[in-house]
Amino acid sequence: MSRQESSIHLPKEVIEEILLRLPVKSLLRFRCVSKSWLSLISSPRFGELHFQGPSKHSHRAFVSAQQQFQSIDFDAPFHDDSAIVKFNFPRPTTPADLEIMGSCRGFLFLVADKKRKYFLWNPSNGVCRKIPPPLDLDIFVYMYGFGYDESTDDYIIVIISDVLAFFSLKANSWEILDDECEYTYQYDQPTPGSILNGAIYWFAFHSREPEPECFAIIAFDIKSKTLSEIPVPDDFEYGLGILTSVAGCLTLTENCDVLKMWVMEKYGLESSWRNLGTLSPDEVHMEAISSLCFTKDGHLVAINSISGLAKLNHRGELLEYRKFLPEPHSFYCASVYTETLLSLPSVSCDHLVEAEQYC
Amino acid sequence: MSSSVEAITVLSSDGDEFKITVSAAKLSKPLNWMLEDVCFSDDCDEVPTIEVNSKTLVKVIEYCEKHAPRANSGASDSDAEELKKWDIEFMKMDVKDILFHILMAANYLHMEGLYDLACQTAADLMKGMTVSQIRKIFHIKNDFSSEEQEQLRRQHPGCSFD
Repeated sequence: MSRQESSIHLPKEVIEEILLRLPVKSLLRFRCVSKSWLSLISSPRFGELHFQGPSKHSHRAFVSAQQQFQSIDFDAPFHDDSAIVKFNFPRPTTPADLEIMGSCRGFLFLVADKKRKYFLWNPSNGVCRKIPPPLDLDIFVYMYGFGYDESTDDYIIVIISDVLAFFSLKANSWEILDDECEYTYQYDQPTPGSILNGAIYWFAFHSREPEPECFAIIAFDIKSKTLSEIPVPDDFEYGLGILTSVAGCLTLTENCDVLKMWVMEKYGLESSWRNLGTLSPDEVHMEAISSLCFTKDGHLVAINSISGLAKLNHRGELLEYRKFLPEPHSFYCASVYTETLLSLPSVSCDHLVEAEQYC
Repeated sequence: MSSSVEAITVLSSDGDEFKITVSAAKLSKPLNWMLEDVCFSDDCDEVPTIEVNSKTLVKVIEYCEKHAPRANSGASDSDAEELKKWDIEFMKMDVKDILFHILMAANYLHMEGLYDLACQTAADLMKGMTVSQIRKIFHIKNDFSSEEQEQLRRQHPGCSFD
């Protein structure tokens, strides 16, 4: 048999098929291969195909403090510096008081400049868009939410203040859903929502109810744009609750002398709140922690109020701790995000003129 | 086609003859069409040519013969597990010499399973490569001007063109 090993040139569609199976980290590196690879990898179409495609999406923790940004591979040991990536904010000036108020499909929702500037930023590919703030800049926002409406391929931002309002990225406009909203926050700072199964959740206070009836978990359904309440666990006592969505479940942390955690096993069913136990993380300054995610090994990753990440085992014992950035100005300095190459949908033509004013 | 035929003969692009069982050939749509169209009985002179070189065709046929029983009759979980392990061993090959040829052959022969497997294997091998290694295996020239490289470095700190 004759065996001639001729060099082989793969057609474009086969190369694309291979690239769709690569992780974001490799694809970002391979943008420098050639102009055609750069334009393919940067194209919104490729970003969408890659997100829908067969490659597994990796999740990283994002920490922001004092104009510095780091993303951390939380499966790696915290002392492993190679697991940390530094980012620059893609705007000429980085606001000093950026807070992370949501994370969805690779985008972070950032609020800055005394809550007057809103941004959506995908740190992986650098896509960033400034969002027009609500027209009345003096409104006080208690809760923020950021999510994606699959039915309309649109991103939405929800604010709960004295009114309930949402912003549609495609329409590039705000809409008031309810003139009167009876929920407020629990701290002196706005609370970001957590996404689960097409809804955004917050731990909130019902302003017209006495304690303890005032504690509520509220859910904003992204598709129907409606707000509803779900019950808190029966044995929830103290008011300081931190709600997160971890590994497909809602988790609630009660921050007092000890940390009690619950996880809602069956969505919306009060009886399905299961107490995960009590953590006593006295070894570090953990008086207020927020759970972020689970590692591959099943350890809980949590952040405290001084941008320190901790790994805890199922007994609540501290396995690792590292402070990643200087002291942030806000508790909301960290989030978990998915590495994607997604772009934002364009603003529909009717609204383009308005949109340009904000670019 | 006579039902008594169990294997067919095909020619590689190098002109070598290969035997492939009918059930294995069914994994490929074009081969399946050939089965229906062409007379494969012993007294038939016509031997179809597959536009795949001999070295690659050996591997493609090996894959087909291994996967045919499962594709034709379904398989238990333990079989599927065994087949997965076999696939991993089967795919241990050099990217440029043979893997890319298998990719092209699987694409040409419409073999979805092998195509997916080869794409994934290529991606896994490429994952940790440098930009220059990628250019080498794909025969790509760095067509960025030094100004463009500088601009990209500014946009994406830490990016490397080597």
